[in-house]
Amino acid sequence: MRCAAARRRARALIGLVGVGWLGASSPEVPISAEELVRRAEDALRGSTAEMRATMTVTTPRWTRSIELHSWDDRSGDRSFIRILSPQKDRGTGFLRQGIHLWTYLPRVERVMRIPPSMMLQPWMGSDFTNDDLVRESSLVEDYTPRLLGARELDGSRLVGLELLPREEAPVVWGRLEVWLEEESLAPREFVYFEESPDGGFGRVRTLRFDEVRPVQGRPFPHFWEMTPEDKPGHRTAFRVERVLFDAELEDELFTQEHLRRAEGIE
Amino acid sequence: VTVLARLALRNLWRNKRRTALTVAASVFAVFLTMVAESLAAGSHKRWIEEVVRRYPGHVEVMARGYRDHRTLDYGFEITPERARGLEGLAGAEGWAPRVESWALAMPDQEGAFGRAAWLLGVDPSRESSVSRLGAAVEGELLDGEGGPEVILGARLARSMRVGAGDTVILLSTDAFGSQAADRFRVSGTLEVGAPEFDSALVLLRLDRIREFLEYGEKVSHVAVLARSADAAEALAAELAGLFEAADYEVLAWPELLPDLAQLIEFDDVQNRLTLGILILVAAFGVLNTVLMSVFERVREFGVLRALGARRRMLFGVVLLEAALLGALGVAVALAAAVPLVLWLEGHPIPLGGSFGEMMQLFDLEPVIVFDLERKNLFGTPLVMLGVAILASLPAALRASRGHPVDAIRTVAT
Repeated sequence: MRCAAARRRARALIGLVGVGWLGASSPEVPISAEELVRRAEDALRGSTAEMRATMTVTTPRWTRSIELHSWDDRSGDRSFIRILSPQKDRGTGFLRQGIHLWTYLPRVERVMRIPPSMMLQPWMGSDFTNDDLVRESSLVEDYTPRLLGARELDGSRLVGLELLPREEAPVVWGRLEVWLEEESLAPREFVYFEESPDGGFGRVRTLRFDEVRPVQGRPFPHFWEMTPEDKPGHRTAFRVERVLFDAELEDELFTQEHLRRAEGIE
Repeated sequence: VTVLARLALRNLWRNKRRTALTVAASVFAVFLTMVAESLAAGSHKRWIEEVVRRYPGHVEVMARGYRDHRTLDYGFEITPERARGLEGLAGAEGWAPRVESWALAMPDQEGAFGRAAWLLGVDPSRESSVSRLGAAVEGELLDGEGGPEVILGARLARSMRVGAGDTVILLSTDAFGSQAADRFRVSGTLEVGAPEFDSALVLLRLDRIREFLEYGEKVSHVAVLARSADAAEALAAELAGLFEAADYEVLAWPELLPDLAQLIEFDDVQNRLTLGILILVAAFGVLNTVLMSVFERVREFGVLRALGARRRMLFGVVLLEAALLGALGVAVALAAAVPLVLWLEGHPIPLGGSFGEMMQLFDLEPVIVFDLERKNLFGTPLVMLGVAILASLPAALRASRGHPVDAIRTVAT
């Protein structure tokens, strides 16, 4: 199995050379498929990231926007989200430590642990799941990447990677496709597949990235949009208003006490 | 024709005891059938009434898709125009708007467990015109102005160790899929006798549940009570005119309560089978009598034929005999059964013993009720008559066949 992974990696390398796109993006050292995934993740999350964003959920019946402030400590495997608006949800918080997730409900001043059975439930009515908050911390650790090829999107050239879960990796998806801008390596599209009963893979949802602008020297997409395959007319857009990478985050942020402190938030 | 009738009557008179016995068999069959059918019809109506008034109503109107998904996504608003339409329904006794969803209910203490609960929002004044939920409430109804209130199913309340005056926390998902969480004062408990209510129901006022779940002016469904179970279909048709089929579904009680509908159907089939056998036995009695009398009269028929009577006439005489036998039985049975059943309609028989207790367990009043339905009143006698005539066909054929000369030579036995 280790052997197979190594072979797959080797094939990815050969593939890279074969496609011959490396010359264009200039680095002298050939980049492995794993390195590409790592860079895509780094571009999105850094080692830490503090973010202000507006999430807009659209369904055929209604549209609703939620403002939030989030802190993501990737190296410490923990994150924190505070909902700022709408008024009814203001103060609601989410604290993640590893695979554990708690939510704070200000109306009843109560911290609730979100049980494993609810991990695949929608998060705040969006097309993201609770699981999305917990996982994706380690695409590199959980999946084996392989180069797929290249394609065009809005005039820029994308390079695609196929990610298959490593054996025993605790993942939900049977297959992932990651598409990066060839030039900048900014992520543009994540496609999520699950294994279908016939042995193939069925597309479940697509996360598209747009409005790539540099932040602290890295190409960062400021607009994300998730579209599930099984719910026509549903989509969740994520517009990042402000982001700061690699700042030191205090331990105090990731505590239940902080989760409960819902006054004076911004 | 008069000759025909006279012949037939004379034949019946000839062996009075046999005729009487045959008539008695059909009286017995028809009487039993009519009483049993009235009993079944009465009980079935009672079951339907009881269950329908407990909560669902005879007919429910819901947005297309709600039936399968049962989520807040499939709510609809009652426009003033539709409300007027509902108000003006000819076949309805009342209607009530409702909002249904699910929640986790827990007592207001740190570390308390959550229990799955069925959220139901009702308009108390309207609800009382459709269901008896209000009657099952112990404590105040939901008309207090002291903040958000709920009435809990009695067993749910007991399992959470809360009672009137305590506070519970409800966690749910609002219309936008986001968390809904709030505290509610328990104003009372409710005991219906059915576990799906008593150990799960959380009853709220319509405006409170809408506020809690951000549901605007929407409802999950509208329940409508018909004047009687028989009128449910007509009411459903009336409602279908008000809510167009492209966007709405109008479901009558057999679809709302498939278990009950099936139980009734099963009971009906069982009844028909038993009663069918009873009628069949009576019919064989008629066949036997008529056939015997035909055998006895071979010579007589031969003479009639020789005198110029047509085959058709002989055939008619025998059929008429059978019909008279049947009619006599039916007439006596009707004379006995109809007054009895009509009297029983007004005087339900109270049930004791284990069966009565079982009915109480299902929250049904332990009485036997009768109801004489038109299809029973006219159907059963017609079936008896028809079967009697059919059964005598072989005898009639026998009488009309054969050669007059052979017949006259036959020695009567």
